[in-house]
Amino acid sequence: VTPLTIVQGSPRARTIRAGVLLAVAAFLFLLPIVSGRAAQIDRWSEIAAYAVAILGLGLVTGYCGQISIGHSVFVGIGGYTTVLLVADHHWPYLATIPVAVVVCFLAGTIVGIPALRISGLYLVTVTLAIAAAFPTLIDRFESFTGGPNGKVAPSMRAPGWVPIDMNSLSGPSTFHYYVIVGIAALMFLSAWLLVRSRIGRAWVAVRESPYSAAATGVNVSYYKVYAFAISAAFAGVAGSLLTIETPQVADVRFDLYLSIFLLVGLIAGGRSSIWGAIPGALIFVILRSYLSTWFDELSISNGSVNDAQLVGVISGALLIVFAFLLPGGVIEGIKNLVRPYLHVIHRPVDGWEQFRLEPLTDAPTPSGTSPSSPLPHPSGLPD
Amino acid sequence: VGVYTQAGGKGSEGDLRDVLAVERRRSVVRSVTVVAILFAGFSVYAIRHGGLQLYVQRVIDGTTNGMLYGAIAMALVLVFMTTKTINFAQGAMATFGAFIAWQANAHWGLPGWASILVAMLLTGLGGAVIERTLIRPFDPDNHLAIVLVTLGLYLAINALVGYIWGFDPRGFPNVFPHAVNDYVSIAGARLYYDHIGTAIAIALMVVVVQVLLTRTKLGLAMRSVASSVESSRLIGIDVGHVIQAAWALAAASGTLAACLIAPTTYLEPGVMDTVLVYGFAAATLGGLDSPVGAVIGGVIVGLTVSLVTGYIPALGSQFSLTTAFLVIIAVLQFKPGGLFGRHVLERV
Repeated sequence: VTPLTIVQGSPRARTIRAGVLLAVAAFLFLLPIVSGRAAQIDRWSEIAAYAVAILGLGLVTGYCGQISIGHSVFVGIGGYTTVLLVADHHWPYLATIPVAVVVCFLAGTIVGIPALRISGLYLVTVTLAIAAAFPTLIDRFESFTGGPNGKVAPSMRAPGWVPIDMNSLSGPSTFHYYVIVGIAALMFLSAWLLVRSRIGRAWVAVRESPYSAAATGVNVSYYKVYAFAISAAFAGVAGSLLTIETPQVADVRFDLYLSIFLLVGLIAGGRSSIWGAIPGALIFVILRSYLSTWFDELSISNGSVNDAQLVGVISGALLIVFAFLLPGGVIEGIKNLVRPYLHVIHRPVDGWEQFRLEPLTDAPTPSGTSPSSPLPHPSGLPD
Repeated sequence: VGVYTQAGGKGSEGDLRDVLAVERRRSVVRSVTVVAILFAGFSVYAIRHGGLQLYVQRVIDGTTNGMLYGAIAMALVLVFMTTKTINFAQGAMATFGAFIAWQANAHWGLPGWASILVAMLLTGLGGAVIERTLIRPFDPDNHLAIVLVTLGLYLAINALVGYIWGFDPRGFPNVFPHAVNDYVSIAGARLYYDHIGTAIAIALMVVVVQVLLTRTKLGLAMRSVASSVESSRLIGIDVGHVIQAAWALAAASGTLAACLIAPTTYLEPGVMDTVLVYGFAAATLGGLDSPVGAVIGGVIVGLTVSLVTGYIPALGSQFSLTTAFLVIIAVLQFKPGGLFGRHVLERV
């Protein structure tokens, strides 16, 4: 089979990209109409919301190479921000999202500065501690957060001009779905722009080799903290989106396991590309929501309550299997499958010629050295 | 990458005095003094505020808890020293070990101490197997992969314990005298015999590990690997086996810690979840490459949590985990290498 060759940036590539985008948009638009049942639509919304959380985690872990198991905290802060503002101060839902972004960005900076100043695994330790402490802090400020009983906000209402019947069975779910998917799409767009920018390149440089990055003038700690804060802000948006889908928060909703499962989703989906967040969120929701129901129905060990624990065993095993066999996750697997049939020729960066090095023989010979002696190494570095 | 470290606690003789060693000792003395002054200041406030008896009781409780945190921290440090990665499954492995000990005691009819020894042996073996099958295949510098594997183990082992033994809290055999009247009275506060026993057991463990590290060939190899994997390989040390031994040792000492913690509450699958966080705080405070430092760090963390949450009413017991978090943050801010750790310089 001769592979389909596409030159990046060519008119043909543009047409294909526009076609794919249109198809995806149409698919996402039709999904709630086809699936119909409210519970099913809620599940799609959940996947979109968790995709944003995994996307955020992917920015710091996948792109910048810093492992965090504290993102449940930022998802939690986002969720609490939205619910508290809506329930206690009667804000509209959408207006709370920028607040969640700012609060989580600041929280990420505060946690990131001490942890990321130093190299090593300290961020994992710090984020583990904060993820374990977060539910206890929620309980500590019970009068404010509702503690273990949680807090409930009125569900998001559609404005009059939206042609969705909010009194029908699946109406509210459908409306929430469109809002969540729309915002998630915006977040993916901004992540895509971010990783293509100077910032994204600096993150990758820090991940690949902090010392080389520092040697080429990248401020390593600055970019690490920046990646962590941005990623916290993404997680905050995910928290707000989750509360649009289910407008209640409680301490158990944002525990350490949420963080670890987000990491499982990221690794299984693929950490080297922002699009890995989508299969990652699918796997996350299958593990967290569907599997435990299935195991309960199967009742392997005669309906023992401990059957749900098999989900944990499978998730842990999945994480290890992916680390061994497919470190790039599902997205890498898809790329490997498609590679024989699709060949993408990447466009060179504009103006790269000005950085082209002159061939050695054309370099002017320094006066005083005889032409027969071997030339000194051009940069003076030892071999 | 150049790494400045220095070996051995004793200074070298003559003109070969290690400037870095002197500087490091000064730094340890400085930071320990700061901690001691803070502790003394808070103690004066606490005694004036709540009386001597309450203060002594809280110090006893804090120290006992702190020894337990230190024991799990030491297990973390043993793995970190040799591999430069953190074993997030340490708590889960220890819980598994404690359940094996319970099983041995309740169903196989072994006495308490023997069941703990059997569990330590079995988990030590398990640690070695895990290292060989799941850790060694990875490049030691591939921290992300190794952290992912240990997180996967954490999830899987925790869930496996819940699946096998369930979530009903169980009583765990206490190997020390633990009757109601088994205590000595210090200034009215009660120091129970089983607290003393726990402290002695952990101190013994520290001594054994320290003797192993400083007096045996295996310990020398471990310290060599901790200092530099490359150089160790060049002088003919089997690095894989040394790391495997460290994992086995860590798993066994983690099990001992869990078996000592379990009688203080109940044995249930989540028994080590919060202890692990305190263990991280202890290891960070003590320095991630110093086993003795980890236990001292554990005692400081235990005392801090006990005194801070006990005497500052605005915080309360729900602040315990947050206190551990703040300890980690403070250490990273002011003394990133920990109190007894090595400051490692790296350059391109």
